[in-house]
Amino acid sequence: MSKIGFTAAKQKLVAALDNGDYLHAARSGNLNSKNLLLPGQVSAEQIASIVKACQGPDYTSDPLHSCPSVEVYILKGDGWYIKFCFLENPSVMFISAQQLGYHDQILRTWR
Amino acid sequence: MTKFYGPGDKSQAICDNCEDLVSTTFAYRSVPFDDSSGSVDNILVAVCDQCGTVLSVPPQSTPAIRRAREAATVSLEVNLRAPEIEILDTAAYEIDREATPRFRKPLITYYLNRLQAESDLLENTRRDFPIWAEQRKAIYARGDIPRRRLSFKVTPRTQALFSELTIKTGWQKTELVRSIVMLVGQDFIVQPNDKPLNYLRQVASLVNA
Repeated sequence: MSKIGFTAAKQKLVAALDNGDYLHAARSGNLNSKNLLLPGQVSAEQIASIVKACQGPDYTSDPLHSCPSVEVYILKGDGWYIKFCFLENPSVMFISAQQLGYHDQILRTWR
Repeated sequence: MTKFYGPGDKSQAICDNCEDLVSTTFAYRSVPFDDSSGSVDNILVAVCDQCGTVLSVPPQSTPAIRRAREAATVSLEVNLRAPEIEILDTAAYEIDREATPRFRKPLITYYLNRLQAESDLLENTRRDFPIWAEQRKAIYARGDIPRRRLSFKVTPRTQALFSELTIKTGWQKTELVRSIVMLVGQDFIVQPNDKPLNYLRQVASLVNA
């Protein structure tokens, strides 16, 4: 899939979050404990609002190391690090949705 | 309509093992967490059609993962003198007036992480805590001061952080928590410091969003 610009990527990501048209990537067959969306420590709605607030400079992309035909996108905004790629089915594969630094630890302990 | 997968459904994923974009099939598997904190039994996942590796997890498996994550938590209990709980609660109240008792744990976790990450802070705390503890002892000798139980559940990772810091400091768990009470008192009561306050307020606003 060809590289997608920031505005289109944002729209596509938010739509996928709204429709539940996404999956969480497993890491070497394991559940990624850093991805806070996976155990529901942050909701899809919260991630969508963080994505909506992101600006162009918060957005980067690179070909995936293990599969260069796939482009991996990173959004960094409001202390969050959201890494994902676009596929056909599902529309979005989340590699991670984590908070940076202490945020990550503190949010994990919040029940 | 929200997407809902069933066993046998197809999707795509990237397989590190096959180094390719592959087709996958949904099936039930038991999957471990990558931080060795246990596993989740029989959740719906997407499996690589070529090598059988678990490659992705649908949102509908989130409730089961959440339950397993909570079961993996460890209880942490310490007995503190009432004024020390009051120090924690005063700070928690400053941070978030809506969630005082609930914010004790994130507050402690914040300082645990800082003690782990900032060697200066750890050294100063090791130096200052015995003096502070002696002063508190003199205060508590003045009268009958009740004890209160501070109890919460932490993730295996936070538990490991606790263990690591008790080894580094040579302190018991209670002493480590009390040294954090001392730091909280310094930052929120003795010499109010905007840095932790603003930072933790930000965290509180996020988790209460």
